Amino acid sequence: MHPLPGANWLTAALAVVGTWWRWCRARPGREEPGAPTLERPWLRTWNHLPKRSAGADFTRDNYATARTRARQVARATLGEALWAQLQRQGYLDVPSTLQPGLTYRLRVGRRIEVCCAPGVNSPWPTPYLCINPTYPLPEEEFFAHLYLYVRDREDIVRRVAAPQPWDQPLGRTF
Amino acid sequence: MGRLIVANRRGHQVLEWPDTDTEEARQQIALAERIIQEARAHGALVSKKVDGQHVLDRAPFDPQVEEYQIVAPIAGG
Repeated sequence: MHPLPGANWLTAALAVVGTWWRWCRARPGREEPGAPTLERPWLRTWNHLPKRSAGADFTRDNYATARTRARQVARATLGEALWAQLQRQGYLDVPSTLQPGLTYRLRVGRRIEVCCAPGVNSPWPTPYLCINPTYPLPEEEFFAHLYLYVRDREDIVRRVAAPQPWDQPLGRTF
Repeated sequence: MGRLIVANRRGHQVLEWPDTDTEEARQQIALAERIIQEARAHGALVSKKVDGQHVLDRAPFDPQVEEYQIVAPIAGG
């Protein structure tokens, strides 16, 4: 039996596409020779992922392990005193260095709440600020990152924050 | 021993370099510096541990720092 005209061409094309696809999925990033197997998420695009997802290849065990590791590094990033305060009260308040009387209330996996002392006007029309990492992160890990941003680079926070009228979970953390 | 924490969906992954003046240490230090440069070029920030606490840092990479961390870029919405 002879293959249909074009079938060989189609088979070859599919093989090429299949090879390319497997190559793309296998490499975590543009690894240099000798580099450890380290996932560098800034090299990838994550916009296609559903909210609160780390990817279709992530298993339930992967999520559990990631959250455990994230908790360790978040605790080390914040230091014991802040970590204990977060566990005790469920949030951390960071006073603005740019606007006296304004405080950012940070909670794990949630939007930032903007709190103003009496007589202080918020620069935003609504009380919550939505800020996400550009790639998926466990929410406790991102909480520590957001704390560093608000404390040390409030200018960036003010530039990128999306004001929102209500609170809800962040979309790019899990 | 110095270390670079790369926060990612795995929680984090760590690259370490020894204090010793060896070829292995030099390679690890060079790799850590390249990763930090690459992450910064893609919008990430970097923190370093100072007196037991992380602070965001804009200085060039210093292998004498005890611990660095790649801090994810952020976006609104």
